[in-house]
Amino acid sequence: MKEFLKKVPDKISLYTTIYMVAFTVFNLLNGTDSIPTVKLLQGLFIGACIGSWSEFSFGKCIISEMSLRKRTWLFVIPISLLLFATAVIFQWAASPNDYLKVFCILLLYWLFCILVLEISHLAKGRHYTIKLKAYQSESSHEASDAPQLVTAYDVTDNKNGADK
Amino acid sequence: MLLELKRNKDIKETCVTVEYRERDKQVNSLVDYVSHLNKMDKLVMANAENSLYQVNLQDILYMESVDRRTFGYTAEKTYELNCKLYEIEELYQSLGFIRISKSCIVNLQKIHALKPDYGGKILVTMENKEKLYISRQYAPVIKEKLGIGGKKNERISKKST
Repeated sequence: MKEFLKKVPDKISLYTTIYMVAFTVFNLLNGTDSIPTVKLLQGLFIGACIGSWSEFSFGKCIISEMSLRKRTWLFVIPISLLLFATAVIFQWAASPNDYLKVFCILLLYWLFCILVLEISHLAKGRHYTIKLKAYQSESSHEASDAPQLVTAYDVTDNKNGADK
Repeated sequence: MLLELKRNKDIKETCVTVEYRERDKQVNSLVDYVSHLNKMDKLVMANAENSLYQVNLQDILYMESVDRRTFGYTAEKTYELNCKLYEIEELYQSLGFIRISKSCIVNLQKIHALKPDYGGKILVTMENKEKLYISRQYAPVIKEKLGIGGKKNERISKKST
C-alpha cells in the first residue's frame, strides 16, 4: 500500500497533463481563448481518478499477477464509464458536434501515439537484430572450433634417426 | 590402454595426444571420437512418423511443449523429443537455446530478426519467417544475453567483465 501511494502522484500528474493538453487543443479548435478554473479542477479530479485506477490496474503493488490484456480491460471499462458520466454531469459539450470533435482529437492522439511507438519499435528492432547477428557470428566461430589434427608423427622413427 | 590427464594452465587450448604402438581399430575409434566430439554433443534423439531420428540440434529452430509433450521444429519437419523442456534448457543453454516463454525454447542461431512489441514482448522472426513472441517475463534475459538494453543491463555486463 505504501508503494502504491508513492507511485500514485506521478500517475495523477500524467493523466492531468493529458487532460489539460486535450482540453487546450479542443478549446483552440473551438476558438475559445480562455479556460475556466472549474474546468481545471474537473481535470484534476479526472486525473486523480484515472491516475489512481491506472496504478491499481497496471501496477504490481496491489495486483501482483495478471495478464496485460486483463489489466487493460480492468482499466478501460471503468474509466470509459467514468469519462462518460463526467461528460454528462459536467456538461462538457453543448452539441453532438462537440463530442465528435473530442472523439476526433482522442483518435488523432491515439494514432499519433501508435505511430511514434511503431517508429521507435522499428529503430529498436534494427538495433536488436544487429546485436543478434553479432552474437550469432561470435557463436558460430566458437562452434567451428572443432578438434583439429595438428601433428601426426612417429616418435620411434625420430629416435632411431637421432641414434644414427 | 592407459589414460594420462595433465593439467596445464599455460596452454590456451585443450590438446589431446594419442600415443600408440600400432594404429589399430581402438586408436582409430579414439581419433574418430575426438574428431567428432563437437558434432556428438549436438545430436538429439527424436521421433517422427513412428521412426527414430538423430537430429542435429543446430537444425532445430525452436522447441515447444504442448500437452506435456515436447516438440522440436526444423525448417522441414516436426519431431517429438524424449525430454522435458527444462532439461533441454539446462543441457543446451550453452549452444544458444534460450527460453522465450513458459512453453517455448528458441535457437538463437536460427533467428532472422527481432522487434519489440506492445506490452514489453519481443517479436521473433525465425529463418523460415515463422513468428514467435518472447514474453515480457523472459525478454530481459534475452536482452542481457545479447548485450542489449538499458543502463541496468549495461551495468550487469560491465560487472561480469
